[in-house]
Amino acid sequence: MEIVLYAIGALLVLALIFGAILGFASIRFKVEGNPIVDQINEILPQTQCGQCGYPGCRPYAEAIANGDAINKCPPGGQATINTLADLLDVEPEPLDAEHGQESVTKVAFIREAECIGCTKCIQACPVDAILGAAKQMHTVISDECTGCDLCVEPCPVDCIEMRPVDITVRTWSWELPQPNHGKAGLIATDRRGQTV
Amino acid sequence: MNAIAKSPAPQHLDTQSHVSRSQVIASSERKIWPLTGGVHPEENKHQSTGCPVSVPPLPKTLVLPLSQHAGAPADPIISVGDKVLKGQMIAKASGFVSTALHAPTSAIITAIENRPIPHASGMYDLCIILETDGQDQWCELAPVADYRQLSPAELVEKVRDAGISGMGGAGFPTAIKLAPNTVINTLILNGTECEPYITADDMLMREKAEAVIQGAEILQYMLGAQECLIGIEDNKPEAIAAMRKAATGKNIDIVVFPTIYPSGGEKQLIQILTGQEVPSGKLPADLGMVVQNVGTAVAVKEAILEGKPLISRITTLTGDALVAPQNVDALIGTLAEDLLHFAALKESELSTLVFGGPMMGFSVDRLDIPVIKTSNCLIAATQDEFPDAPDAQACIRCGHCAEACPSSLLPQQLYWHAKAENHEQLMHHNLFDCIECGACSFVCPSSIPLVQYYRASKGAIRTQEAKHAKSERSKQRYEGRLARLEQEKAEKEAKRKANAERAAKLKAAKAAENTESDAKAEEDPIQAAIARAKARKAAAAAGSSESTPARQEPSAPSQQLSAKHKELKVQLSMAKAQAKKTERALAAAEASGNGDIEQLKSNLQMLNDQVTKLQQSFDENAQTDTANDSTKDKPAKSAKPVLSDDEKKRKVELAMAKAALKKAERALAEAVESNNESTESLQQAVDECQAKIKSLEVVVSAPPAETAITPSADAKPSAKKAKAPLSDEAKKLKIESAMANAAVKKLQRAITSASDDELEKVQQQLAEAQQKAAEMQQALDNLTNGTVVEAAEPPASETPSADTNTSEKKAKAPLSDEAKKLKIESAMANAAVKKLQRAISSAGDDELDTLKQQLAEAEQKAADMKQALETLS
Repeated sequence: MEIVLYAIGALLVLALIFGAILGFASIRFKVEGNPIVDQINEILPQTQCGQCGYPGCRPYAEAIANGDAINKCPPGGQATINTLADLLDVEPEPLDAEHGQESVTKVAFIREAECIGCTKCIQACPVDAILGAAKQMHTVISDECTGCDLCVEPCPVDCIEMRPVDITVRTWSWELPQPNHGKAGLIATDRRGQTV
Repeated sequence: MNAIAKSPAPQHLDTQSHVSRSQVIASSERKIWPLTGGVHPEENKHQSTGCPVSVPPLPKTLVLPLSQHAGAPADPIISVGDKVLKGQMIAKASGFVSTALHAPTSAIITAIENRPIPHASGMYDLCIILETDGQDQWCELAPVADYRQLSPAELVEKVRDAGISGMGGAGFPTAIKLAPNTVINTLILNGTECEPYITADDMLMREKAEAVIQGAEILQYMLGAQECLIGIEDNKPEAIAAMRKAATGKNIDIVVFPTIYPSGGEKQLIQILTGQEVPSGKLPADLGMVVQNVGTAVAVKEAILEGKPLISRITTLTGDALVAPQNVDALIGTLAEDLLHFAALKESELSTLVFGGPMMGFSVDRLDIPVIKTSNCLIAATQDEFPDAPDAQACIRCGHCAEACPSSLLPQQLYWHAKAENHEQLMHHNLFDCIECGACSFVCPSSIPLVQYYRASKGAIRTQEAKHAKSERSKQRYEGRLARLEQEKAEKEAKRKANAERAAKLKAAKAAENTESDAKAEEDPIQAAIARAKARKAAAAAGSSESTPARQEPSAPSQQLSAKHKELKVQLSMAKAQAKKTERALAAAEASGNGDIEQLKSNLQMLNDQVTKLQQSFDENAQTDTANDSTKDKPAKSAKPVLSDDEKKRKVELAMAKAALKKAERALAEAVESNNESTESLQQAVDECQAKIKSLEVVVSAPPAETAITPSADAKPSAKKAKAPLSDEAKKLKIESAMANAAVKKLQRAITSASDDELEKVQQQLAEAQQKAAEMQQALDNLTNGTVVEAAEPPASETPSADTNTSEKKAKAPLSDEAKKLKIESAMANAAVKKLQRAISSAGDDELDTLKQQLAEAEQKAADMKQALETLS
């Protein structure tokens, strides 16, 4: 009987010790906010375009963390969806067409002769990529433009257009080889049968 | 298409050639280390080593791409039409990783435009086009006789100015490599030239061995390296012999090692010569070594000792489509077609033109591509030489690629991951340590273009990294913007609050001023009301005839004075009431009778004296008052504060006198109680005293009545009344104007976006809006006129000037508010005018007239507004 009491006592002491350690850890190593939101936000393209229906990338990241669909980001495209699926361990889905189509990278371009200097596009730009002042001509800092499209709508004289970013010698890269256009076979006879 | 895919079928270890080469190696004392992996493709070098390096004729046109090196493209410093001399700088380095460009011969700049460049993409890039003049006239050169007199830093500057970039293939600006941050012990010159077909370095070492050694010495001096190794493969016996001869007696070691591809890679050569492996992500400089191509050494020697910039290079012209394959000293910018024709190109047999070697080079699909600083070889291949790549088969996991890889990577794994676009795994398998030598593709029995996969994956990863970097920057900018907006908002809020506080303070101050004067004004009416009530009571109680003259007397003068007279009447009635009280008290005293009459009498005497003194002073004051009143305005203003002081004094004295009288009355009452005999005389004294007090009271009450009290009481409410409705109306008008403005804005927007048929409608709406605005303005005008009239009223109804001033002040305060509002209105009108002007500028011709008319109207309105403002202020 005594042994049982000793055992219970020892367990109690252990429980108290570990409880104290856990309690301390939960206070000392407390994580502020939801770290998954930051991770999702890292993956999102940060165009702040709002095509997903949220006012910016972080709000969408928060929404995804709360269970929203991961296929609402056209600027990120399938690559972003796949990375998100990987991170969240869910099945990657095709891009939701409701929010737009994945297209080539574009940057805004202001036809400077037509600009009246209203500053409306400057106010609309989420990344301060438009330079100008009231009644002065505006121009886009194309290196900083995310191609979010938000400056096109407010322009009263419609002098902003989205231009696809040209691939230059410096941005060009090799393409993956096409896998033989279906000609590759496992053995020579297979291939011969196809080509003849 | 890549040349690798077109390279001949795998050729494994050709052991036969190694026997003869072992003798060459035997004469080298230095220990060498074996290369990991490697392959032995067919060398094909003999075709182009048959004749010495020749100089092709001066071409008519030279095309110099601005980006001939790794890093930022050069920045042109000449303009089209300029005449340049041979060796003159035509583009300067545009950054740290960049280098200059020089005219290869005397020529005229005919264009700076996009031309096809030697690049795997087959794209165009900015080039300087020169039309040679045939004189080949050098510009002034600045050779250095003894380079040891100059510091390494000065020499590095000279190398930078000479536009030298690596001549081996990658084209990294040499000056950067010559100014490392670490201590350099070993300089390695790369004369390996391991890739098939290429013999440019071989021929260079054969013919310019002295120059190579001189260059090596200069580089050694610049780097402070104690050791200098020149690595040469054993398939170049002539070059080895020439170099050994040139290096005799010099602190330079010619190291010969067995031929194997790709021993010429920087890291591979270091491994062969020193046995050290450059860690992943590190540079040879981190191990205290620098590797330079032998061609670069010659270029450095020429730049320092002869002052000549890099304007030509030795290029191998080879391939079965050429009748006379050879090496040429080609000017940078010479078009491939010129060189190939010099080497007697059989155009009908040419199937592929490859820039560089068959393993790492790239094919181009046109001949008008210039030779640049990195172009060491042009292969004009026939169909038989470079047959089409066989179709890729499935990977059979034979593992040959892993054996061949000089970087000890796992090409098979990389292949799978590249196919799956699994970038994370590719990075994990050190994809970026791949030197793209093509050995894996070369040995692959399934003919899988492995290097293509790696190149594509590297490109994709770089693109993704660039995207990520950009998104990171975008995030920062976005967050920065949000923070800025937040701050601006907070600042605005703070400013607004401060403004509101200030306005509230001002208002409070104004209100305090108002209430001060109002209090004065209000106190008096209250007193007057009380007095009136008292008087009525007294009149009802007494019904005596005394009140009648008091009432009638002041009402006699003109109407303007009526208020004053009322006040006088009030004061009189108050005095009368006092008299009534005393009478009652006296009657009570008479009923009982009391002693101490003498004391009472003396008290009364003193009182009487005081009263007379007071009366005298009051009379004097009253006289000055009246005098002041008659002089009006300014003197009155200055006299006013004095008057009010005197008034106070007098009031105090009067109060004292009244108190004394009360005491006397009480004493009298007591006296009457104690002694009835002397009551009559006492009563007489009291009566006198009362009379005096009465007169005193009249005098006291008269001056204030004549000055501040009554008129201000009258004027202020009127001013107030004027103010209250004004502000209400102004508010309404303001709202209306804002609405009108909004309408104008909307319409303006509509005009800019409207098509022609919609324009008329919109214009009509605009006209309506303008009419509304006009009405509003009229209302505002009326209001301001009204203000002027109302403001004018109080002074008109007033006689005493002091009051006029105060009332005018009161009237002015609301006026200035109105002025502000009007100013805002006029500014808004001006804005509308400007907007219309803008609309006109963007409008079509047919609607211009109407718009102009509207503009004129709007301008008129703005002018009217201004005028109103002027009249008001």
